[in-house]
Amino acid sequence: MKNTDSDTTAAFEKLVAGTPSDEHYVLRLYVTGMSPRSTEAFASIKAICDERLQGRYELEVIDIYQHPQLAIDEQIIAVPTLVKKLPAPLRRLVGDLSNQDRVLLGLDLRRKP
Amino acid sequence: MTDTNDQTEIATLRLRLEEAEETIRAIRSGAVDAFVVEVPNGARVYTLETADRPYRLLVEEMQQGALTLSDNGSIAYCNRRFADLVGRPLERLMGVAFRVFIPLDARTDYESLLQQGRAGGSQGETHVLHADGTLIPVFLTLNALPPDCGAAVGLLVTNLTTQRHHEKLDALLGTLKESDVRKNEFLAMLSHELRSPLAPITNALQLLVLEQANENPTQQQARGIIERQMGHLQHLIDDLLEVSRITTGRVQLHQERLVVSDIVRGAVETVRPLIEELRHELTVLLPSEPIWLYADAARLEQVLVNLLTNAAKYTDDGGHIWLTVELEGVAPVATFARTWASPPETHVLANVATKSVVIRVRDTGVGITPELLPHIFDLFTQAERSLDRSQGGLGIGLALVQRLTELHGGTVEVHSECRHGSEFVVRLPIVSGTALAAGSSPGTSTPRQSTPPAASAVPLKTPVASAPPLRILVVDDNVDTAETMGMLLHATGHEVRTAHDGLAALEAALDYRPNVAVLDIGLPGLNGYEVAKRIRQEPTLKHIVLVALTGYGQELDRETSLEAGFDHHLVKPARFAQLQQILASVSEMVVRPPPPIHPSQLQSQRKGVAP
Repeated sequence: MKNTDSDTTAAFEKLVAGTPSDEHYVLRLYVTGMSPRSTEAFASIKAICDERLQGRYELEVIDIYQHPQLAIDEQIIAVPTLVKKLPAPLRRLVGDLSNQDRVLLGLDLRRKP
Repeated sequence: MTDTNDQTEIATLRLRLEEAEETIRAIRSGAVDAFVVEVPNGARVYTLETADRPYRLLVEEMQQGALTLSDNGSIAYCNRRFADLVGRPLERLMGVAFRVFIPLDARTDYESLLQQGRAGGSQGETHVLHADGTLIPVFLTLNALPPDCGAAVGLLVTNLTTQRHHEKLDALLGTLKESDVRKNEFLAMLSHELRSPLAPITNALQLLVLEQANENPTQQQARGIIERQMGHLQHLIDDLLEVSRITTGRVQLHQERLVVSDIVRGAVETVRPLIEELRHELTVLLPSEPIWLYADAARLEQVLVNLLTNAAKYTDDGGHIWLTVELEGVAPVATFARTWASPPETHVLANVATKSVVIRVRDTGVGITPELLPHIFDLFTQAERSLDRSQGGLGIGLALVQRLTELHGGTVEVHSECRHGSEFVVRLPIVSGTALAAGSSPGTSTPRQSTPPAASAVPLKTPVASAPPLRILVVDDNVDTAETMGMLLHATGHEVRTAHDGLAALEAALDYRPNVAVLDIGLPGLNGYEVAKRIRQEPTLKHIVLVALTGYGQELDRETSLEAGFDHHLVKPARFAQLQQILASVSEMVVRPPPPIHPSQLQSQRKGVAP
């Protein structure tokens, strides 16, 4: 029990302190095939990853037409949605993902001053 | 501890709340494409129009007809492409049974395709009927659709017209290639066959030349005509042979170490009569130092003869032709780029290693039109020539120049402006002396008869060398060839016997014991190789000099005849002078056994040889 406690504490402290720059990111982007919003979202997230997370991220793109069950499992309601699975805590960003500031904020990657 | 837990929980809940608010905001502002809804047997996606559009566009614009068919096989949806394919207005197609577009005799097949499609998937070829009555070949792909789609089957219709067209073109191309191969085989056979009658005619003509002292003016004129036209005919047949060699890739080189200027002199001698006839001025510029090449003398001479002949033919009478030979130090492009960055010494070394000799043939002639220029080295390409200059020819000269130059590892290029003359530039790699020693051809004990270049078109000349009389056996299944050859040899002072098949040849050899036997290879019964082998096995006949005289001039044929025991290998139509040279060398070596020379033979020899 003690372990779980300290893990939670650590998670909280991270939440407060912001994300250290060496953390590994696991991201999933849910899209609807080739809609303009989907392609924009993908382009924007890919750009952020390449700029800020180079060498330490995994990005999966899931088409809900092809894998609807995955969306259900991940409790996706509307698409496009970006899910940050790691680092904790899990976060979902829904809707317009072409706004880079919004995505950066959602991923705890506030712009460097 | 509990306090911290609470705080974490609160933070997490806050995040979830934020997310939920964000999601609602996004949906309200129309920033999403689709919703995912959980239904009893899985998930369902409800798509908004924005996300649907690209798919609609894709389906409308794709090259195939796309349809959905309801359970009874009528059209529930179809794209414009299909409407165009069958030539009907799109608006009239909904609800129409797809089968009406299938020709009657193919409907049963279609129905079974549809049935299989409903069950899962199917595909097959058929036709659809266009409104104008034409039948269009198509490929159908059917897929069963999920139950909630409002249609039973998705159907793709691929128009096969273009593909069929390509298939037809491919088949046509195949036929063309095949007929090209047959044409090449025909040319090879034709040129080979044409040479057979040429041999006795050449021999007979040679006989007339030997007797020219006794001819009257009419005979002299007639012989002159025959001689010239024979030369022309021989040239054409040689060209035909060259064509078949080029098209079948059987041009072979007999390379040896040689000096460029020797080749140039030989070529100039060959074309001098033509140049003098047309009153051209020929300027030849050679470098003072000898330039060594590793090349086939006859073939290289042929390259220059062709270029000079072309220059002479396509220049108005009294024109000017230049032939210049010079060394060029330019390295090939790749080497050149490297040497720039290298120290000077390397640069010099590289240049030495890749030096080439440049032979330019320039004229003040009519030049080459821009339309013809790109094709000037193609087979059968010929410029228009004025009628009074109808020299004939098959249009292979420059194709041969290019092929032969490339076989020597060189290049040929052309510069020309219409009406302002042409310049052909041949570049050949020169080889350093040490490299040559290893590469130069071995033993030259057997005189090599080069495949006939333009030189064979030179009019027949009276034999040059006189030879002490020999006993000669001439064997050819073409009786005329054997007899005329016999007459010719007899007229030049030799004793001759002829035979027309292999066994007769063997009997004659045993009975007659000739000094020399001239054997055709393609003999009935026992072929020339067999005859030679058996003669070589007979101890009493081992001194006979065997000469193969054959229409087969390839390297392999030479080797085969040498293996069979032949001493010499001549290709038809062999120039009589070549045979004369062989006979002369035999006469020098052979100490003639009895019977002694008959006085009448001596007389005929003197008569024939001393002009």
